[in-house]
Amino acid sequence: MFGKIFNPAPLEYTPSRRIIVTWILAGIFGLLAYAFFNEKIFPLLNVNIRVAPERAIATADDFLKREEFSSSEYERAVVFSSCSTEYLQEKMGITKTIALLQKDIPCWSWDVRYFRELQPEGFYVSVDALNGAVKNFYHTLPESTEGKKISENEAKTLAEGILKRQNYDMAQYELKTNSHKDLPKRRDYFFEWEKKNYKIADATLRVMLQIHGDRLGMLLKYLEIPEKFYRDMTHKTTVGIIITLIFSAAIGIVALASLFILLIQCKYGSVRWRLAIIFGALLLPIRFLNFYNTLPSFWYSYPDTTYKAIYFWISAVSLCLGGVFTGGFIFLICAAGESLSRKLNLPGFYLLEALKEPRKFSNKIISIYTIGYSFAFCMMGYEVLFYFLGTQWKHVWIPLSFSYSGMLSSKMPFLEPLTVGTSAALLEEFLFRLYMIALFTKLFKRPWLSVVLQAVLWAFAHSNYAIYPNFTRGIELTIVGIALGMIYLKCGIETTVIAHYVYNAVTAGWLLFQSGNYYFVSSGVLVLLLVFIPILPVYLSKRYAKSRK
Amino acid sequence: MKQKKIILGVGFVLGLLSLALFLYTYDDCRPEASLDVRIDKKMAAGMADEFIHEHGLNTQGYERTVTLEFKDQFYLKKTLGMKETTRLIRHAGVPCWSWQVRYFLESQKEEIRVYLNPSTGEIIYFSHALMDDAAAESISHDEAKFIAEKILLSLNKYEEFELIQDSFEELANRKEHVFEWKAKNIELADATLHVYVAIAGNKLGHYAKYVEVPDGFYRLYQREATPSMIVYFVFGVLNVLINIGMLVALFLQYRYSKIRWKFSGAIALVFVAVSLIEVWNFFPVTQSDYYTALTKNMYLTIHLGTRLFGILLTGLWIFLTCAVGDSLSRDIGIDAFPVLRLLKERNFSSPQLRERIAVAYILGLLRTGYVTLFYLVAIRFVHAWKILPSNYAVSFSAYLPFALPLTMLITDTLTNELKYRLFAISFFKKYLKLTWLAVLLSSFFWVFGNYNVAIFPAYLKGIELVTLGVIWGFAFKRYGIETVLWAETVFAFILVAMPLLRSPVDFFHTAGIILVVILLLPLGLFLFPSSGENSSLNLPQGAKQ
Repeated sequence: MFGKIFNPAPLEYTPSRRIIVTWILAGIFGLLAYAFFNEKIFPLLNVNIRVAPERAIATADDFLKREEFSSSEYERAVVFSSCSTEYLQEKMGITKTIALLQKDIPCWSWDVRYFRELQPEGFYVSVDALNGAVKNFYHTLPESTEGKKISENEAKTLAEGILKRQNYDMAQYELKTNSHKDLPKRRDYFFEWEKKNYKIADATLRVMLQIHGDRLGMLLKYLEIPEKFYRDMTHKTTVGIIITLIFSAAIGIVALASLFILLIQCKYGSVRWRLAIIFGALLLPIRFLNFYNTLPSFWYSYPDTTYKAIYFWISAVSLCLGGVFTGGFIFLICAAGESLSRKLNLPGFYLLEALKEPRKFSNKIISIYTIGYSFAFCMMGYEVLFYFLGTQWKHVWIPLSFSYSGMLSSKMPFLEPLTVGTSAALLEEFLFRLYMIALFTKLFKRPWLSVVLQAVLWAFAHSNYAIYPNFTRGIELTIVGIALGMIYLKCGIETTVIAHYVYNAVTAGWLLFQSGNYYFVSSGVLVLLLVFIPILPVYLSKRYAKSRK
Repeated sequence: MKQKKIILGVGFVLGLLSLALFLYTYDDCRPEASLDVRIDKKMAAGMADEFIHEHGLNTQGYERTVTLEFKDQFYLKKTLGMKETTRLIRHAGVPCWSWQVRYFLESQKEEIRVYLNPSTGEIIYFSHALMDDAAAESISHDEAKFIAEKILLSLNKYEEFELIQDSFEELANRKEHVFEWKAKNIELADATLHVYVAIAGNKLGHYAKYVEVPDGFYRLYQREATPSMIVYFVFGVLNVLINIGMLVALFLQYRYSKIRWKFSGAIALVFVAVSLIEVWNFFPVTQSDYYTALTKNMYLTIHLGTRLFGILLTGLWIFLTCAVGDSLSRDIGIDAFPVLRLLKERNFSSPQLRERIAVAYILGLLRTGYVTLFYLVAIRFVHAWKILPSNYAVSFSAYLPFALPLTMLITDTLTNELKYRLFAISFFKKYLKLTWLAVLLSSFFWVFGNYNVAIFPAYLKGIELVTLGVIWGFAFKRYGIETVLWAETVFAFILVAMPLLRSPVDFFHTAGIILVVILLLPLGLFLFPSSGENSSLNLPQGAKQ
């Protein structure tokens, strides 16, 4: 009985109407659960990013002008960044942390970089993404640049004046560091103040200021967190990294076996090279799209010791190489997995088979899509419920994180879920579901064991996520992995690829949708529309069938 | 036969002359000539202990590691030249090489590091890492300055200094005072000699003596390194294509030719075994790099786990490269492993075996002369300078210093030779048909595929090694892979043995002698009386004599 539910379905199998309706209901329930609990589990999603990157650049320009720096000859690059909040969360809880981050401690910012090709001098200005005020500043200046040698008192007065202009009440601050250094052609000063009577557990609020000659060199406001906390966090996260490494090594060995499987299969001429090449090659345009989309972050990291053209082309070709590697890997596992699945009468590519005869299999196609989308929504609901219960019992701890900084920094935020979502869905589903289930079934003869094994490998390779205890993510995803494995055995690999992609796209789009910024909201709407992309092949194939007729 | 003997004899004499030239000009053109180890690990640890106790610190219960470290003096080499830099490091106390004695406790941030000049025992760096909230007695800034000055003068008796940095920082439970001085009247082009002293509470927290390089230099250096980075990158891309070609060739050879899986498997296994020995031999370095935010078990799991996985992956790659390369070489009629074949046949007295061994020694020795001449000319006309490779520091830190070139023979040289000689030459020859083109292409890939920025101007390495790659390529074709492997090893042995042999410390000196003995071991085959038989009848199928 137990083994039966894991038995692969034949190609002719089409889920009954009752099963489809059940899936639809489950999907709706999952979506509702996600909408309701998401904010409670991941409250940062509700942070209102009111300032747009263009406004941040304008503010940064004004700041430089006010401090009498000329920025006209510089190029600009802007990225979104967020601080780490683990300490506050551990000491004060989520609600107080968020309140504090929105008021006292700058956490979410647009970082504007001013740079020139091959020039060491440049500026970094950090603008608060919530209220548009300049928070931090840094002027990169060679040590050999000429400047004044003012006295300590003059430097201190200058520094306090700058801070007053930034609305600091200096009576509330106490000097903690005082330093000067004689450089070949100027004298630099460095001061650090701590806010009096302001403590969050053992952390203090500090502001650093550097004077280059007689001008502002650096301004930085930050929370000085006890070092022990960071060491403990390093220890905690490393446990997760070790679990991930162990499981990744096991996955690597299993994946390498695909080469030998392919060698053997190839000798008997039973490999569908063309199919594997198409999926492998699909990744290359996706990579390029992603590169184009992440250009702002790319220029933000430009090393000004090299020519821009060299930096660009080396990065672009590296990306191409990365695409060739990943594409080659997908090609290998797709070819090996597909040929092995066919040999073992496992589902493989049900949808592709069905699309050959779209009329005959129209119900099957509809059911594949319905199950794919419904399962994605189920996964979303399951995830938030899992963590809601985990955190309620106080055994599970999820640091507030803003893992979508890359998306906000991108040229077109709606493209990120498409590029990242597609490659993750293809790579993981082909490797774990298509290839590993076939390989383990060949080795152990029991589909249920194959499903469980691949799910455990897939799930615990995700242990490097900042979720504690470190095995939590593994347990959560093992269940998802088993479910994906079972769906694969009944409905084919396309269903799980669709489910995986839709999950990635909707969760990313949700964040954009909730931000207060018009541009991000419209991007969020676009992302939510992009989840219909998997339907495209069906539409195209139907049109093709029609035209042939 | 007689003519062959004469050629070999002349080659051998030229080889010895090359070695003599190499030894004679060693200080002028080898970057590792600056290494002068007169203090052994035990002495270094004793001196560090003494220094620590002098400053009122207690290291009882701490683990201790001793390793050789180096900080290359790029700026001095570029501006003053290799010879002068070597002189400054060996005789004028400019910091470069150092014994690092580290004292640490598991999962504790508090630790002490002392760096000593391996030649004189001078303390060149000290740090006592404390938690930010660690408590210490607070003293006034003037008192701290007095202590710092005392330390400065006690460790630098012969220089005059001027104060350039003066600062204090108030931490939760202690004050830290930082002072930095610049040496007057010491001219190192535009660089200056600095001493940095930090007083944590009322004790020495940090001390560093270092060469402060003009800040524009590193930008200039990076820009100068850019062309070679580009070349490295371009050939890196082409190397990926070679690897893809290897996979495609694997499928084709598997389908249409015979592959010697067992033979390739044995070579890959040797690689894995030797790599594991290397991991053990370098364990002192692993221990010394322990990151105290983790437990030791966690650190070792990550470090050794990733290393072992890397070894397995490379082993697999060697297995495949060897399998394809061997199969392709037999297809095009190259006898790639003649020495292994003759040894397997127990044909120790075969003239072919002797010839191949003799050629390997001659090529290895000639390389010393070639490299010396090349760099003498390059230093003279284009002010060439070289970066220190890390092998020497690793060798002095290892359990068995003499094992480095032996393990490198398998882990490094074998990997390269299998890929660029056995596979690449056979592959290009099979599909492009022209031997000279195959040899030239493979040597380009060999050189630029491993093209790190080690020599300036960057193009020099290309000229030096492409020429060598072509010679190695033809040597491979004529004498097989083992000859090239041993020729490379002879050169590596000489390079690693030199600093060991020059050290007056018994342990290192003996290690150098052991290296020389190992280097000469294959010559033992000449003790067997020559059979004068030609073993061409036993050549593998398809291979030509």
